[in-house]
Amino acid sequence: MSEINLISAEQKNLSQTRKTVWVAVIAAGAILIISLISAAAVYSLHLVKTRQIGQQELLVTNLQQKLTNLGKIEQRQFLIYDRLDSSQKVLASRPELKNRLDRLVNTFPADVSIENIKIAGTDKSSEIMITSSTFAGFFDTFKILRGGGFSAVNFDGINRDKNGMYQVKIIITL
Amino acid sequence: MKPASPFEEKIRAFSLPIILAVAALCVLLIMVVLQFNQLKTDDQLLSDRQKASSILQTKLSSLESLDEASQTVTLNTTLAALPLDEPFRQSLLNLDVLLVRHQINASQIKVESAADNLSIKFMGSGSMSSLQNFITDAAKILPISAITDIQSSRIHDSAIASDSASVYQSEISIRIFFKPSPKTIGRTSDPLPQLTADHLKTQGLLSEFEQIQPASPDDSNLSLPGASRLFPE
Repeated sequence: MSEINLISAEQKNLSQTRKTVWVAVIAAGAILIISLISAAAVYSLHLVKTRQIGQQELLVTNLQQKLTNLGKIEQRQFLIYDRLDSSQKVLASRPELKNRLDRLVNTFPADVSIENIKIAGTDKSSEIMITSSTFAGFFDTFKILRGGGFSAVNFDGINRDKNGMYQVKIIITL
Repeated sequence: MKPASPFEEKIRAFSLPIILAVAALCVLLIMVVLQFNQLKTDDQLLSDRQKASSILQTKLSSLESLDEASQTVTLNTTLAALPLDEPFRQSLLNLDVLLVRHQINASQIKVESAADNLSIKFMGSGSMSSLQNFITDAAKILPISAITDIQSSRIHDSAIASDSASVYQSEISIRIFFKPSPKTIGRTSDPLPQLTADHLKTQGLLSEFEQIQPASPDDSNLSLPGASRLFPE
C-alpha cells in the first residue's frame, strides 16, 4: 500500500513539473512572438517614415532647383538687405555738424561777425573767434550764449586788433 | 549509474524554459532599443527635411512675390548710397556740382582712401550761407557722406558787421562711405532676409537723397553742363 502511494506521489510531482515547464515554454514563446510582431510593426513604421523622408527630399530638391532659377533675385535681395543695414548704421553714426554750424551761426547778433570757426565731428566743443566794433555787441552775445542752452561756454580774453575791432575766442560745448 | 536527485531533475526540467525566456527577453530588449533608436533617427531626419522644405517654400513664395522692377530700383538706390567700390569718380562729380551750385571756389583738394571710406579734404572760399547750404546738400547726396571737420576763417573783411557780406576760406573734410560686396550671401537653405520697418525707413530716406548723374554715361572728364570749379576748362 505504501509503495503504491509512493509511485503516485512521484508521478504527481513529475506531472506538476511538466506543467510548469510547459507554462514557462508557452510564456517564453509568447514573449518571442510579441517581440517579433512588435519588431515587424516598428519596421513597417520605419518603412513609412523612410518613404516620407524620400518624398520630403524630393520636395527639397525641387524647391532648391526652383530657387536656383531665382538665384539672381535672391542675390539682389541679400545685397539690398546688406546695403540697407549698413546704410542705416552709417546714417546713424554721422556727426551732426550741419546743425551745430547752423545753431552757432544763427546765435550771434547782427553786429557781431564770425572771424574763425572750427567744428570737429569727433569733438563736442566748437571754437569760434568773433569780432565786434563795440563792446555792446559782445555783451549781447554773452547774454545769448549764456541762455542758449549750451552745456559749456568758455571765453578767452578780449583783444583789440589794429583796425580797432574787438576780438574774443569762445569755446562752446553743445 | 546514480539516479538524479529531485533538485537536479528540477534544474534539468527548468533549464530549457529559463534559457528560452531569457533569450526572448534579450531579443525583445535589443529590438526595442535598436528599432526605437532607428525610429527616433527617422523622426529627426523627417523633421529636418520638413523644416528645410518649409523654409525653402517660404523663401520661394517670398522671392516669387518680389517685383523685379521695383527690386532693381531699390538695388540701384542702395548701391548708389553705399557703392561696392571706392566711389572716387562719383564723389568728385558730386563735389564739383555742389561747389558750382553754392558758388564756392575750391583751391585745393586731397583724397585719401581707407578700408570703407574715401576721405576728401578741400579748401573752398565762399560766404557763410554758401557754406551752410553746401553742408546741407552734401548730407543729402548719394553716396552717403559725412562732413567730419569744418574750419573757416574770414578772408575779406568788408568792415561791415555782417557775415552775409564776408567771404570765408574754409577747410572742409568729407568722408564718403562704401562697402565691398559681402563674401557670402547665404546658402540656399538660409531664409531670405526680411526687411524691417527700419530698413524700409532707411530706403525711403535714401530715395529722397539726390543722385547726380554725369553729363553722359561714358563721360570720363567729369565735365558738367556749365562751369566746373574743380576742373575748369
